[in-house]
Amino acid sequence: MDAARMGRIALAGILLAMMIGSLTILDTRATAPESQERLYFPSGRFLVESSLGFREAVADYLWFRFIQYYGAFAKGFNDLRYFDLLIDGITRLDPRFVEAYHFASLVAWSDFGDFAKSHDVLKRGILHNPGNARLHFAVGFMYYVFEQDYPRAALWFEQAGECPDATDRERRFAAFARQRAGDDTVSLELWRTLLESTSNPQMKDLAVTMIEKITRRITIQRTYGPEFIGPIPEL
Amino acid sequence: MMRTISTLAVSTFRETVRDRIFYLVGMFGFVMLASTAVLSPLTIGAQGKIMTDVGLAAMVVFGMLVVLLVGSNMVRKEVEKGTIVTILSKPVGRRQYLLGKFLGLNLTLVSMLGLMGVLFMLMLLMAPGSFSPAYLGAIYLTLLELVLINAVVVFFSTCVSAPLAAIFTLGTFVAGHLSQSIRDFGALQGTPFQQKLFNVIYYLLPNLEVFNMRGAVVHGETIAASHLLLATVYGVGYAGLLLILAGAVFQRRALRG
Repeated sequence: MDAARMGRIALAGILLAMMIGSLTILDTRATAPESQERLYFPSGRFLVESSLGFREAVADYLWFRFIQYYGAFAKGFNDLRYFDLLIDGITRLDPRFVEAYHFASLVAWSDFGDFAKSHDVLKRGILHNPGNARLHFAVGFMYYVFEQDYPRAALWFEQAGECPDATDRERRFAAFARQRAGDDTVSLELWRTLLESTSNPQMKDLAVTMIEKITRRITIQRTYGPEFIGPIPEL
Repeated sequence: MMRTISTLAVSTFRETVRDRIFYLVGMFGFVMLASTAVLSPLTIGAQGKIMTDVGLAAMVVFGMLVVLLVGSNMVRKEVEKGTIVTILSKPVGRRQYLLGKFLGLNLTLVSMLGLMGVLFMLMLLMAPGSFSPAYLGAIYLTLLELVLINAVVVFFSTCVSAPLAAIFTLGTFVAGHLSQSIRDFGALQGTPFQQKLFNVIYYLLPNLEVFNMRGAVVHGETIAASHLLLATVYGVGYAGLLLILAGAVFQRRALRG
């Protein structure tokens, strides 16, 4: 190997070391919290216009940013001040991005403790995806678990059950919620509907058991009166 | 005449193959693989949607790259090298030459999108629940969009230099996706003259959103046959008009040997 070639290789090595070294130092200077907080997110309306024909792909990119942003929040690196802006951007770019509404509603409830905000996000999702059972179910689930408002939860579960992509789960929860709300007649009807519509044998067994149980309770209440309390007698 | 045009088209296609344009298909495959393997853990329940979005958007991006890089240079290169004089000295009309070049690049686009489409479908078949035959409609509309943009670049390449043709074509692509907003903006103007002016601009610019059904198919919608038909009529009509204009401009150009 001649001296000139050796020189070029050495120069390339030095330049490579300079490049990697400087980048490593620059990386250590920019700490995660600062870099996240310095992000600038344009408004959803602007994004819709500026993304040209790539709205869904830009929504996906923002979705990744949102997940990273939330991850940084979970690790304590930043707060969630850009939460609304990001979710607005994602859902304006792709109004049918169901996962975004769903996840955002959970974050709104669990991290902001804001039931109304969570509810709003889901309602916005339902407005753009009226036939999506998952979003209706999520509203019902929030009423059921967090608010213990069983009649309202049952209404949402029933709506979810009527969606084209509904599964047995929505109908089952509707029946349970009605029962929990003390509305045995409606609950019985819902279990019967589920029994007729499901093809799942376990679900059929569950529906049969529940129908028997509720029928027995209704019969007892009719026989002994609505004030009856105590263990249910065998009929 | 048809034979001359087809010979020109095939030679243009071969030229693009020699230029290793099909390396872009490899890159597309890599993008699809990356979106599946690397991005999947980050998608939180949206893997199929994101894979499809990335795949369909990448087809447009790579197609645009081909149109801009190859199309803008296609005519200019032969004019500058002087080879165009040799071609035109044979019984080949200038309009036939342009049409041949245009069809040749379209042949490249069809082959590229075909290969990308196969790769895309294969990747989706591997991700359960993501595949839908409706995607074929979206890919077809993407092809129509690229054909129209190809006509735009052919038109500009007859009037201006290659870099300017690429920039103007890119500008047309941007404006084409904003044309609906231009029309809406016009409707907000005070005077009827301004409203009419914006309406004229709207019809002059290509409305590329007509060909953008990517979002709809990703969310499980099918594309109506009537939409496909009307989009085809619009795309072919617009591209045809541009080629006629390009032919008229090219007829008047002085070419050096």
